[in-house]
Amino acid sequence: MKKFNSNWIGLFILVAAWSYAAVRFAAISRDIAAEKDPEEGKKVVRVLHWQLEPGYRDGMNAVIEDYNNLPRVKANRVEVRQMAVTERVYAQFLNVHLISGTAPDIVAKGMSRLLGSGTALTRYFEPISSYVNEPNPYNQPEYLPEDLRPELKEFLSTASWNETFTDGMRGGWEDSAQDYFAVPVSSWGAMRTFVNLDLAADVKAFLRESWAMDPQPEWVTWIVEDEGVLTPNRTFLDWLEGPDVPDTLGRFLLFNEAVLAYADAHNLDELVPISASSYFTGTMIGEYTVPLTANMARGLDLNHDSNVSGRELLATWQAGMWDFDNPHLKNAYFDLVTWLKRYYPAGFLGLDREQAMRRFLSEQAVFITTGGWDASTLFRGAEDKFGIEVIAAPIPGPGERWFQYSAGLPNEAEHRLGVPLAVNKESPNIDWALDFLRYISSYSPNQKLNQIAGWVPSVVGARPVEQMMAFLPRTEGLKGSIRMGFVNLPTVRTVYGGQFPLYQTGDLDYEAFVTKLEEGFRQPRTGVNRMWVEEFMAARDRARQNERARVINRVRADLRGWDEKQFTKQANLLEQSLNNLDGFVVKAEFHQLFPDRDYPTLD
Amino acid sequence: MKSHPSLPIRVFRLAIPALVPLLFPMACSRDAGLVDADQVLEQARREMLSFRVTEARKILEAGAAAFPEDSEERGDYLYLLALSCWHTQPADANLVRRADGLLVETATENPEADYAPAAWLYAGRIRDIRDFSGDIPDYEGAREAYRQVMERYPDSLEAAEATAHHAVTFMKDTDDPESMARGAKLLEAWLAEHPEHEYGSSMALFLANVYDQFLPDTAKALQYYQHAYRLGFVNETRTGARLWRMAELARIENQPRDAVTYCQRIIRDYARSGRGHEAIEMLKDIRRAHPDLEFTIPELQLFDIVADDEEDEA
Repeated sequence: MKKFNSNWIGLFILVAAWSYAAVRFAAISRDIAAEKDPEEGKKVVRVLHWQLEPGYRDGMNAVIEDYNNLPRVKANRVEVRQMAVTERVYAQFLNVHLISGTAPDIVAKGMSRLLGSGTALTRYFEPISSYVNEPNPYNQPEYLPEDLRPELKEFLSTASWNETFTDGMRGGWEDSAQDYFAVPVSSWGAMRTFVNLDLAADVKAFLRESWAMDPQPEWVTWIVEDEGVLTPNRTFLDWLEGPDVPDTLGRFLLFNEAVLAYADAHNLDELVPISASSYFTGTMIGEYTVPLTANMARGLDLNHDSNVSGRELLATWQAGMWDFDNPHLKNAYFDLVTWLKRYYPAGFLGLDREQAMRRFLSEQAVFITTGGWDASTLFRGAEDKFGIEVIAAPIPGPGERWFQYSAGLPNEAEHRLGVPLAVNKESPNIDWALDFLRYISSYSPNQKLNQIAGWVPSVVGARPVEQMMAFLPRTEGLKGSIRMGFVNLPTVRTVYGGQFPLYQTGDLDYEAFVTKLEEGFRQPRTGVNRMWVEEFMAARDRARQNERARVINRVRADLRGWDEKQFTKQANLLEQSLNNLDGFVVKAEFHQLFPDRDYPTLD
Repeated sequence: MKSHPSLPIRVFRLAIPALVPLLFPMACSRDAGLVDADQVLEQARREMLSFRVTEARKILEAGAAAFPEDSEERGDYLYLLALSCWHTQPADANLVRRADGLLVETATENPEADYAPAAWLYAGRIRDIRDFSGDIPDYEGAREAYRQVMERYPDSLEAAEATAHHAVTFMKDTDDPESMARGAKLLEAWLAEHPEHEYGSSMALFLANVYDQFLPDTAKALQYYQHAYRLGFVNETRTGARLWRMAELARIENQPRDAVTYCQRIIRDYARSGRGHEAIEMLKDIRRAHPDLEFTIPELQLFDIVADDEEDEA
């Protein structure tokens, strides 16, 4: 008997899958065609985003419903619909639909690496610079509340659309393409620390009692006298007597020590001071990068652009302009890392964001640090259970340990708004998509969206819900980009990322940690040398991308005439090209630091 | 013994080419059938403007018959074809070389055409930058092309761009400590002759950066920053950071009045740069150091999110 050829099974599956896909494709195409047809169906404008946090979709739905009920929108049989996709698959979902030409009309820009460069954005999204200089029609007086302050009313109705955003619409600007591509409609605000007020009050009472004991418990004398985290002066004693939560770093650490003692005294095995996790904002140390390292980082900004980049950090280390013995690092920043770790739950690096939130909401932690995107979850979860106060990370006060290193908190004036909604170039409803974006980014709808969502509005003058006021950007303090930003190191990022958790968990002491880091930095093929090679390559690639953008801008201008916008764009791109020296700016930096050395290679 | 593929494999091999037109009917028909020259150029330009450069090139190549040697549009066609060859992704060595040849050919044959200066400029850029892996720049060839623009079309915008890139070709020789200064001198000479040029601000800013970072000369750096500032910075999003650097340089150069001006502008107009608070602190510092200098310290007003009712309550 002839043996059955198993390849037939594969062929059968292939044909079956293709047939199924073809039928689905035809069915969906027919539906889409029906939606586009004004005679038979509606013009459906879909909005795709990944904001699945509680409240956000409700806020978006409310605004969409208002928009769909506008007489003009109804008359034109337009309907906006929301599509929310989890961030776990958002990038793949978006990539597939952008490439296949079936992406929704409006898309939250982000997540996808496909959209990493300005030219890629230009390929898929409609540039909107030509619209942003006009006032937003939905900010005209008839759309604004009657009791709004006259000067705000005047501003909103006359200012250009981009000026009505609290970040000047920078959240939608793409520097490499010199164009606006998105309308940011919300802000999650800044990073803050949430305090369980009920637990904090109990611990404060416990601390007060412990402090009054004679003799004081060992943990009090250890942290105050042996470790010198604070000076028990008059202001400290006033704070101790009052109801306030910790407002300086010394008091914060003492308070955390009190939480441990309180948990011990009351057999609360699960209670920890800080709910930490492996989530990118899961530990508090990120809040101390600027306060404890900004004074050290001044002078490392080689190109004076108000930012110490990862490359500058490594290059200046290689040039001996700083080392890990610097007291800002050894005695302050990395010292604080180990202090904070005392107050995290055991095995915190194995915990994820949800577990950390659950711990805080089940009253097993007094503090948690996160961004405003988690605020509504935390506020709703704590409702009827305990009170919450939101504070900025406490920094060292006068007379406290690390005060001499402190530069204060950074300002957050450079904040970028979030949820940047871009218009798909292939959309058959570009005008309506833009109209909806104008609507959702106008004063009243934007306030409504963000109040329901529990986020911070993006429009000047719009008010967040009371509990989000603490997330408004801080305008005082140093510029936040002058710091030792180790998490931004290029090339050797994995070296730092691999060793830092070991240091954080105590598996490596500081000397061993630094030795491992420096060994990694010095590796000829994977260390700082490789960084120079890769940075040079990346800068040259940017030169080509810039050239591409300039060529196409010139083609556009030749076709439609040179107007001021085209000219400014061209001048901007030329400026970028020159300052990048076609990529050789990296080499020039190297030879400035090491005039007698050959440029590194990987040969 | 040579083995033959089994029947299912043979069916599969036959099926795939048959399915492709069914699956991608648009892709198969896109490049075919365009014979009108204007139509070809228009469609190719449309693709170019959407950064679909490869598609533009395919349209141009498929429509080559519409542009015989004596046709009026042949120059435009070759120019556009050259640009699309150059910027096809991923870059291809043969296409890039072809682009260079086409640009020189069309610029030489049509010296009066609008695109001629740009064609020479781009021929220079192709030789100057790295387009693909293993591409070795030809700086001498690039300078030659730039000189064509500068000499033949001295009043064009492209001549200014060519001058800047010509200067940068010298600066790229970073092993030579004199190269940066040599390039800077060339640009300085041009800026002295064209102080109010449309690209003057960008050129001056570039010189300011060069003198600030690579040829440490704070006086010259400040001078060129001020030149750019007078003409108006082109990139608004970076103006705050530039004003801050100008204020620092003005203090180094003992020009406190200028430092005051720059700080005041940061606070009033560019507080979103993140330097607003520090600008206030610098102004206080200047006031302490120069008590005779009269000036006001503006208030930082950034986020107008205070509610009406709160203000009323206050």
